[in-house]
Amino acid sequence: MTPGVTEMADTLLKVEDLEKHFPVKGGILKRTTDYVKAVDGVSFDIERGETMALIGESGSGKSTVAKTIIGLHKATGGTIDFDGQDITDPSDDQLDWMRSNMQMVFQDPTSSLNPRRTVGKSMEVPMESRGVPAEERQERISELLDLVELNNEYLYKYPHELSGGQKQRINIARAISIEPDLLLLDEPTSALDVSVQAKIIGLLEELQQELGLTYLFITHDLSLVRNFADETAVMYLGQIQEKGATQEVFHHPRHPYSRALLSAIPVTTDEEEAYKPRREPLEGEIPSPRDIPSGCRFRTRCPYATDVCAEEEPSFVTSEGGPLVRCHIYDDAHKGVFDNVPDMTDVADGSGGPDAGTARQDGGERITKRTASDPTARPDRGRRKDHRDTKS
Amino acid sequence: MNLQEPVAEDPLLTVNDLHVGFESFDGFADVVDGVSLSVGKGEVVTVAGETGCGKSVTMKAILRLLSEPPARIEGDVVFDGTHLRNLPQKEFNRLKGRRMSLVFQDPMSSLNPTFTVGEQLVDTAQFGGRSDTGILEYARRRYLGDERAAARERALEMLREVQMPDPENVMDAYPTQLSGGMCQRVLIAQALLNDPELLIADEIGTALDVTIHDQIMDLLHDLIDDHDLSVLMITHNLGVARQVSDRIYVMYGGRIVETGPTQTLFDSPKHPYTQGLVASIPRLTGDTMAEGIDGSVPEYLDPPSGCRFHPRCPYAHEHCQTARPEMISLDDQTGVECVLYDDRHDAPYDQPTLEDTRSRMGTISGRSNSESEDKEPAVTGDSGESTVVDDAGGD
Amino acid sequence: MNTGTETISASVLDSLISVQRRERWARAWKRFVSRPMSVVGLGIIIVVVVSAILAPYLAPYPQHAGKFTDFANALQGPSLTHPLGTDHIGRDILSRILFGYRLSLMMITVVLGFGVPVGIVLGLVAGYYGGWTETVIMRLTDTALALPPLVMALAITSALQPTLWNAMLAIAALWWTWHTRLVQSIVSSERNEEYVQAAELAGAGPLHVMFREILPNCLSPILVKVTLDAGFVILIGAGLSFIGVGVQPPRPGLGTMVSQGTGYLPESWWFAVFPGLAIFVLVMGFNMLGDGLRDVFDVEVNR
Repeated sequence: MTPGVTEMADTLLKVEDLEKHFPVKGGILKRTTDYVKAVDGVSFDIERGETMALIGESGSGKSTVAKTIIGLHKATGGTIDFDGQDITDPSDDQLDWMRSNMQMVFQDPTSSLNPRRTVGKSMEVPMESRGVPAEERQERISELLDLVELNNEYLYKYPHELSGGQKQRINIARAISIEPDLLLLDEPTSALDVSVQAKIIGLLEELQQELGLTYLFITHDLSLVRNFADETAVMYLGQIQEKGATQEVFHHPRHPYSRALLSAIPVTTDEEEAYKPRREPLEGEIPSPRDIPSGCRFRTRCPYATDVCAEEEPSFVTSEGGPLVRCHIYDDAHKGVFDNVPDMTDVADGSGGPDAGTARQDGGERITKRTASDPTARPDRGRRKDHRDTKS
Repeated sequence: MNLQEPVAEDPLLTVNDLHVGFESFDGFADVVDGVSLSVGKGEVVTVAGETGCGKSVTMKAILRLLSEPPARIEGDVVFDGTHLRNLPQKEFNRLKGRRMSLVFQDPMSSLNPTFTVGEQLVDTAQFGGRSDTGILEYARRRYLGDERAAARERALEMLREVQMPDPENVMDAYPTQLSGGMCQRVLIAQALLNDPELLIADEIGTALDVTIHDQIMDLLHDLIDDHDLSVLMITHNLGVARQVSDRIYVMYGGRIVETGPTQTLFDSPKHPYTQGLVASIPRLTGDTMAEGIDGSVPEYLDPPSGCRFHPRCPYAHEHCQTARPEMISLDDQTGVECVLYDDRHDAPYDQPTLEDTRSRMGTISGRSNSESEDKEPAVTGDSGESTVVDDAGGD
Repeated sequence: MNTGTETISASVLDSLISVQRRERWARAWKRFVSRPMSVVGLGIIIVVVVSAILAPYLAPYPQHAGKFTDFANALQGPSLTHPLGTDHIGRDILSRILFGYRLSLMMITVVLGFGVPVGIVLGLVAGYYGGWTETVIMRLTDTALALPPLVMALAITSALQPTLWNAMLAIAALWWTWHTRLVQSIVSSERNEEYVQAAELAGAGPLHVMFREILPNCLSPILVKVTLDAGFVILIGAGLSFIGVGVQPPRPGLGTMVSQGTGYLPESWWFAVFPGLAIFVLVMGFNMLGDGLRDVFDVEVNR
């Protein structure tokens, strides 16, 4: 079943107010006592050929979003539109069509390959299921292996004979074997080492160029998507807290959670240290998705939370400069209540890139460089003087 | 140019020329091949390396956690003057329990799920380092006398010190009821209960979320200072290594390829592997990221001759295959195991800088940086100079 | 950078594949051989199977396996002419044991040949579909499991004729239950593995997923169980023959021989002991082989 009248709509995937609540059954009669609100109102769209990054920690619901879009879970609320068609509750025909046009690459390269079948056989499954004849399959597989920079001998290997990076390439090859439009990548490099990770990202970039793919890239590693994604959305406890052009979100993170996330990343250069927002270590643990705080769900850990945060849920508003933010600080109605926040809404043209030490040109409160005199800064050990001198 | 291995001043733990191999059905796997390192008193030292470099095996060998067949271990491990390898088991257990401590990876699975946190902590407090306690003695201590109450107090105190919220209730909780971050704190508390001198930390934080991990790193920082600990940390995350360590050892293929003070290592890495690694780390600032290192980690059953990195090195030449490079000491804390830094040897390349190596690797410049709508080529290939890059299949 | 991707020529590829395959087998063999017991077990089975097949040629007195009487030679002790002695009708026990092995192997083939495939299919379907399908199948299995095989066999053979064939059918009719249980438990946990999800996402239908994806992951435990089962089948068969509802005289069933022989203990001990030993050796052989196989498979999976 092919899309209707509007062929080649610019927006490939459109998700609106998506919800996925898992019922928790308890008691003798196994009644539903509670809900795990894994995804609780997520909206975004991805244009054809774009890469959207979905960032979040555990409990954010990012994997569940992907699995719901692709049909492994059934949405309990909201809508999903793919290439003009509503696939929120897909019929069997629609499922078939979906499986030819969107595929997923999972996080663990090992568990997504059948340990008892050779990798070549596993790669054939999508084509086999579509009735592609054997010869054609063989040809195509050779092409695919070429595309992912492996050679024919890999066909006859078992997963346990391959390294993580090689397995992930096989997974990618399998996913693109039926020429999908959309590829969902669920933490595709989290299980891999840095040097291998870089190669996989490079491969994904190339493939996107060559095959015109659209990506939804899910990860908890922000630095990974800095160069790779057009748009970035930050998720927390089932909702998107900030969403916008990647460069903007990184340059000027607005939501307190995005700032905390960015400031917590361990980096290896001074330039990156200077680029990070001021350190605001978060208190406490991530609440369980069963027990979402009232009002703004981030308030239990937010350094700026006040009464209004507990009473009212913030709406998703457009901030000056573009990105959508779900925080009362940016809501004109409540802005006045917050008086001690860094002036994040004052956006100038920051250049915080390779020019180390240049102050990021926004608001007076922003500390230009993390120094030992800043009580919130934690001086990296390696950069302290000979530690023995500091011992009494 | 010095050929002496860099050694810490006032060393607490010294490892000398450690060799660890495994006999298997497929042959002999020569994993750790001559590793020497040292941890000074009050120092934080990290062994950094990717999967398969042998860092975990090294740690296990130090702690005598490997059964000796199928493992074959040679070399010295000296802790504060005592040679550990030929110490009788009982004495070793005593020493290990009282003066060394280990924090494992994956906090969720390192705690026994069938006992409460309190029981496990108090047991450690009471019996740590005394594993040769007989049954009667054990029963007496456990159920009689107020030793147990005192130990419980210590455990509670420790939980407070690791900033555990609501320590009283946590004592009565089971590990499965706690989050990853809380389990990690319990493990750290457990490790510090008997006031060790040396803490060995295996991939702390790998299994944790970024923001929680951040909290734990903060905590660790404070604890190291407060307790005057020496730390040997194992990790594959260079960012973490940079945050916590005074000195870093970089391992590859079962050998230490470079070592130096943290600042120096990141500002100017010397070994082509370290350079490749550092160049491949994605940058928050959006700078160009190198496209990883070609090739894959060596097979220990049949490792490359000479330098184990030569199949993947952009500067490899004939000499690299013939002899294992010696550790060249550039000053008393910095060392590189690469022939390019050997004055006695004439190499076709100069000592490379980070930029040199970066330019020899493919790079990903991405599109988020540019304003223009044109699609730039996402990958800029290298200049094709890598003559000896031998690939086992594109990793 | 496309390094290391030159397409390997077909001939080089073929030799690479055969080298790989050979290496895998060699590794598995080495692992198997490292446990001497397993080799002994394998040896026993091979010897038994070969002797059973070649019984007509190996047996010194092949005609003794059927209707034959020689009362003059009855109950002779072990001697050069009759290494294991003769029975109460004068038939050579060694020859009868060799032919008895044939019957044992046939029993194994019939019972397992029917029971195992049925059990696997039921287990796959129950584990894959879950829900009501699973409940129905598993409760059926539970019911069948509650029926003791020996008693069932007795009941069936007394209702029908007490022939070997009927006895085997009776056992086979209940044997599938264990395999259904085994397979269902494996399948219901593998069902949620990512590789299965990946296959479903790729568009694979239930048949493909069950038989081409999940089943290969069940094969090792099944194989081990089948090997151990063989021993059990023999024991049950011998038991049935012993009480008279299995192999009927004059056919040389091992259990039948033991049964007949007990009447002549302790003077003509060889009549009961040697067939008994024959059963023992065969069952031991299967057990040892089964253990060895389990070791080989465990290591492979944990790689």
